[in-house]
Amino acid sequence: MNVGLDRHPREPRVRRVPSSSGTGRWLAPLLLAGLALARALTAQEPGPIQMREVTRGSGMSFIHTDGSSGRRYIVETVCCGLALLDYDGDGDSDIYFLNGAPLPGAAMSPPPRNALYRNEGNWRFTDVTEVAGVGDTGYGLGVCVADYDNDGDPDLYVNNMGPNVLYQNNGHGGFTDVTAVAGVGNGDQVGAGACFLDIENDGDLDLYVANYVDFSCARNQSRAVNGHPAYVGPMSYGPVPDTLYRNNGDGTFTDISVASGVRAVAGTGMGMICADYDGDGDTDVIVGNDAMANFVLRNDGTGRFEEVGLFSGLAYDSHGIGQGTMGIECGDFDNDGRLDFHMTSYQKQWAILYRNLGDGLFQDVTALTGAGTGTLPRVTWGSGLVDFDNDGHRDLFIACGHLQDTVDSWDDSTSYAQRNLLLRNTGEGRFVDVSEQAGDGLAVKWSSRGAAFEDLDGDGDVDAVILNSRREPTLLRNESPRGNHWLEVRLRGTRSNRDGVGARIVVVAGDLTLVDEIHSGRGYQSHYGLQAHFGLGARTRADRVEVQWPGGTRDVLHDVVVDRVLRIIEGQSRE
Amino acid sequence: MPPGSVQAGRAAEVPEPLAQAENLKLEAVSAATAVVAEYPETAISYALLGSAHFNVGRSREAAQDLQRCLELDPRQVEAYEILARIACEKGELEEAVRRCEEGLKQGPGFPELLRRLGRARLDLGDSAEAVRAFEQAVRLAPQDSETHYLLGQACLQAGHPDRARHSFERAIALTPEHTQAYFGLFTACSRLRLTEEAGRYRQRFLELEAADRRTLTDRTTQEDTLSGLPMVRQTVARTLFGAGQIHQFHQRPEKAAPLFLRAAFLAPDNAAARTALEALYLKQQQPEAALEAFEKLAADQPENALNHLFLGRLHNRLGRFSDAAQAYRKLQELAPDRPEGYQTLAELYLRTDREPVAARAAAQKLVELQPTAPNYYLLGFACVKNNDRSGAIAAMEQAVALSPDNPGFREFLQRLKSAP
Repeated sequence: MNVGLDRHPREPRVRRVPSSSGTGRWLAPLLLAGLALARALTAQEPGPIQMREVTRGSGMSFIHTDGSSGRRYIVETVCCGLALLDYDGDGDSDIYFLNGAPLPGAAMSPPPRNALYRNEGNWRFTDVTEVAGVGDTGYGLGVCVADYDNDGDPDLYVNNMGPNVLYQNNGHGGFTDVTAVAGVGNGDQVGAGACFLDIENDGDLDLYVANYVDFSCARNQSRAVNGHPAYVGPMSYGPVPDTLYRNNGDGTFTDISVASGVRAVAGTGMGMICADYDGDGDTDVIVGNDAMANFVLRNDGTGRFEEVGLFSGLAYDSHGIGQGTMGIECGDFDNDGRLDFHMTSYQKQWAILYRNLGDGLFQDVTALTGAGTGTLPRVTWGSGLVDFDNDGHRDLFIACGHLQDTVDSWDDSTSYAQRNLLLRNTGEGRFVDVSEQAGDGLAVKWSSRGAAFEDLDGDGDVDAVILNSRREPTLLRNESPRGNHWLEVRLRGTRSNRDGVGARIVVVAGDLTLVDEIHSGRGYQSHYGLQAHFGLGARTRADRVEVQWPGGTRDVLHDVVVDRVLRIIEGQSRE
Repeated sequence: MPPGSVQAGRAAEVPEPLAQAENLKLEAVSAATAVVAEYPETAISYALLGSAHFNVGRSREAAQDLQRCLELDPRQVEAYEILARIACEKGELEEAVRRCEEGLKQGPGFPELLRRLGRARLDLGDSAEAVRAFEQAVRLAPQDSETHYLLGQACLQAGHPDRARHSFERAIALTPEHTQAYFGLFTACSRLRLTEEAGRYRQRFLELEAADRRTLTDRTTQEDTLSGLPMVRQTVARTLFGAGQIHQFHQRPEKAAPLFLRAAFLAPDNAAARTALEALYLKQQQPEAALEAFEKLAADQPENALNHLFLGRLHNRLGRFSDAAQAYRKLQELAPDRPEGYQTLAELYLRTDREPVAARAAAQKLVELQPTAPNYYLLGFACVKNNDRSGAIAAMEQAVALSPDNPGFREFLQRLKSAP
């Protein structure tokens, strides 16, 4: 007899299995107790990666707001990213958090603003927003950092709903809003990720600004899922084209979206990254789109772009379905010398790992590598392909949190607040979920969005900062067992852009060859990693460190001492 | 609360559609709970309750219900499938595999379980086992395009693009607009370095994908969809219909009838609930009661063509041919592009030997909408009633051409041709 066991195929729900399946009434409590004991024992056994939560006591008072009032404006759910940058040039990473702003129906006094925290060392941070002058009160979504004026200090670009802001670093601990002069306000769009990149390798950084959807608060829609109020998806508003600004080299930019070919396609941009995905020596643009195919804008080397997502294999998952892509990260997970890509997505979709096959082609290897473990019941956002234990293999950190704040009422298999995920790279082409053994930092359960990864305390391993929706952020100190060696490379361009954005670094240490690129803007609408960190395992020296600068020049260093920060100036280490 | 931490004014009053949806879900769970209370030793009762819980997002309870169902009757293979689906959607793929394998011991010929097993294996990266499961499923359900498609995916993952290509082609042969199968073909041909074919499949994929996206966009912006209420109504109707079926199975028509009626009311396009309602009353020799029920439905849903189809059938059965014809004409009016109204009216007129001109007009329209052999036969018969022999021959030639093996059609055509 058919009693209507089937469900509507489009109804988005996830289910749980019973904890006491197959057991009798009396056995069940015993079995459950046993399971709990086993879990507790497993949890006590530390894994090779340990992340300690150190937010409390850090001096961090930032609280994220999404500006909501119950009307469910779509931007509330996707807000926002953060940046790690050494704004004051003292050698350590400071933190810049974006923030929402009151949307119609919400009143907040004082109004929320973005916040900059100076790293004082020893995991203490001071709010320097006022002094630095970077407390924008716009509705922040994406951020990127780079020295766009090549004057030796990092500048900040904030992609808002509404006018964007370019903060020029004056080199003395302060910034100046130069948006109007620079001409990069981007009108009244709903922002997303943003990246500085050198589109034509002329030595100054251009600016790609992703736009999300054709939305305004006056056109707001909301919906219901299973009888509960919910946010609509991006297709309720429709896609919009992105914006590309060319750096004129005099502090101003020109909108070349049409001439460059960027405006030929319209998407629902979220996170993005600029990288040389096809290894042809120029920087391409990869934009994650929400609920449609991702864009891969191939650079012809002169700053003209063609969308080749379908050809590359990065546009869809292995089934040809455009995912609800949130963030994009790249890194060489299998140490074959090519940059692979990781894209996060919506619940009931895997966060996808694409292996670079060479020749600009990619394959979805999520299932083959186990890189999707734990992501299906979660909404995933910022991610990092980061070698947390310095063993020479990039692990995966994935920030999680549902975007539907009512989901607990209509789907008991997931939740608004979710634990983040840490998947360890075994070095044999597989990822293993070590979240439960990775310390209290992975036990934090909020609704995370942007995530950023750098060595905040200068102890040779990579730490993490996570922005949580409607909450305080999470600072994670990497306390993984020491012993493995590492090398951090910082670049200074002379002919190329000063930060070396777009440069490729190859480190050879014995049998290990590692590659990375310098990116400005990555992950979920965030920025980190103007320096490249390499875990070397037991290898005590790097045989060779090579930098391929965006302009085509090359610096090579031999027999490099490790466990330190290596600064390379363009042109001073020619082979 | 720190400054800027929001949330003033959140969650005001519950909008009407949301309150309605909540009540409907309670109604479904309540009906299923009543079934369990009534027939506590029947496995299918727990399956229904599990399904009801599942449908309203209470998967923990659903899993418990389904487990109880299996304790009572391990042969309820559908329950394993749902338990596997619950595990799969949560990403617990090994658990899903275990559930499927348990279920397959009970029902090795259940293609849905094999498909679910294959999907779990595929997501685990266990390509060889996925291929094996899908191959078995294909043998059991060779006409299911989705299984062929999934077999293609497993072959691709296993590194056999040539075999994948074959499976994707089979999927498209069965479902010509299978968007994902075209993507699979594009991928397989790219890996086989068949550039020209890959380009062709890529183009077709892009066309279909764009159309899918347009449809989805149209649907997501519809006010009804945004309210979520139509989907809740459909889901609840299925549960109520299931509850009605169980009561009927236990010889409790007085409990089944209102559930079928309610299911029909909630789901205007649910023909199964209406058919069950009609059958239930007719089995009890109560056509008048059935008529009353459908009149009530028609009064509630005056624009719903389906109700008029059943009204016509019931009037016809009661010998009220004028009322039946009126109902069928209403059906035509409400659904002018569907064949049912023309077919039923033509049949009614021809069977009762009335209105031959109108019967022929209806049959003519019918073959325009649905040019099948039986419909041409109906037209041929209508032509005969209108003394149009050449029209009848032309219609029957079409019928024979479409169904050459039907001896009845050939004989009728022969008689028409040989008649003086």
